[in-house]
Amino acid sequence: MPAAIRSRVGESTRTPGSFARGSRAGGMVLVVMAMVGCQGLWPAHDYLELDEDAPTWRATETRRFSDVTEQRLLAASGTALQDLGFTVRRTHAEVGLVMASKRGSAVNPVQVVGYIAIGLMAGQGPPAWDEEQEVRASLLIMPERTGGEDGFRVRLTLQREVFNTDGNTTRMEPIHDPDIFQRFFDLLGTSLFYEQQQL
Amino acid sequence: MKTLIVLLTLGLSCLAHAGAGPETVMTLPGDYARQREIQTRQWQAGDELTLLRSVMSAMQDLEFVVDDTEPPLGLAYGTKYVSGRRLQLVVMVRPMGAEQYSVRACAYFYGELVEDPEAYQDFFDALGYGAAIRTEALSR
Repeated sequence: MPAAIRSRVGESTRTPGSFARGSRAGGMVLVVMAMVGCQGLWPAHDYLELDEDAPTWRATETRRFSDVTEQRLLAASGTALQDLGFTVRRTHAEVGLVMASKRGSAVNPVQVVGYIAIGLMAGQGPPAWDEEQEVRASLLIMPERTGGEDGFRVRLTLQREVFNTDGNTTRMEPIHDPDIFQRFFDLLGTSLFYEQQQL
Repeated sequence: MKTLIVLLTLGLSCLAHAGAGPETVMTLPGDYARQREIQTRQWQAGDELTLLRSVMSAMQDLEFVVDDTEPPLGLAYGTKYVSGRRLQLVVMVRPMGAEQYSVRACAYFYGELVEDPEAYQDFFDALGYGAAIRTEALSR
């Protein structure tokens, strides 16, 4: 039987020597797979290391407030998050923590048009595009005395999980966009003003 | 021969899927004392709540979102998204004496305990970094 046909019907065309070489290679693949399986996909240890951009993010995500009580600041922070469409999940006044989340659209028209074009070129339906995102927020108030003046440092951290039209997660990432944080702190300033005016 | 290989493969596959029974759930890992040691540091702080806030602030520095805290228990936990996966961190603060506290951090990546001592050292370095910044702000 010609080699091509033997191959097609599944009969081995290997000589005993090549079979032994193939087995060794296969064995090595199995050993590597077993090692990966046993170890799991461990993160590099630096996942708990401070990023070189940490001071920048700290500055972007933090604002200092004075002439206000912690309770008012906490209430104004919750109000600002609610104004932005977040649902406040829980607060812990004794440690100045607010946890909130928000679901919203993640549709990017450019991605949608691109995916429809890809689908048309491939003669199939378009691939699933990003449809929805869940943004999680934690806001922490730290009492701080700077330059002899008592005040509070407010830091907001955000992260998001993006789901496509099939409901699968396509992205999980922290958010560090300075504009987003600026908008929040502008609103917090306004909210604080109304809190102080008891409005 | 082929039948033998198929049977062997099926047998090994069954064994692999059998896994460990529930009887191992409460078994201490052999190196638990060492794990506890690498996850724990003694820390000095004015009070427990201030230290708990510092822990959460360090978590924020490390890009975690704080999921929740239980101040009466000295517990805080958070999640960080890393390469499309969840890295979870659980930190417990316990009083040890006058202004002395024990801080224990346990990190889980994709549900499995992180055992790398360097990872925990990095976390405690971040906790120290936050404290240093606050001390610097005080002296300004």
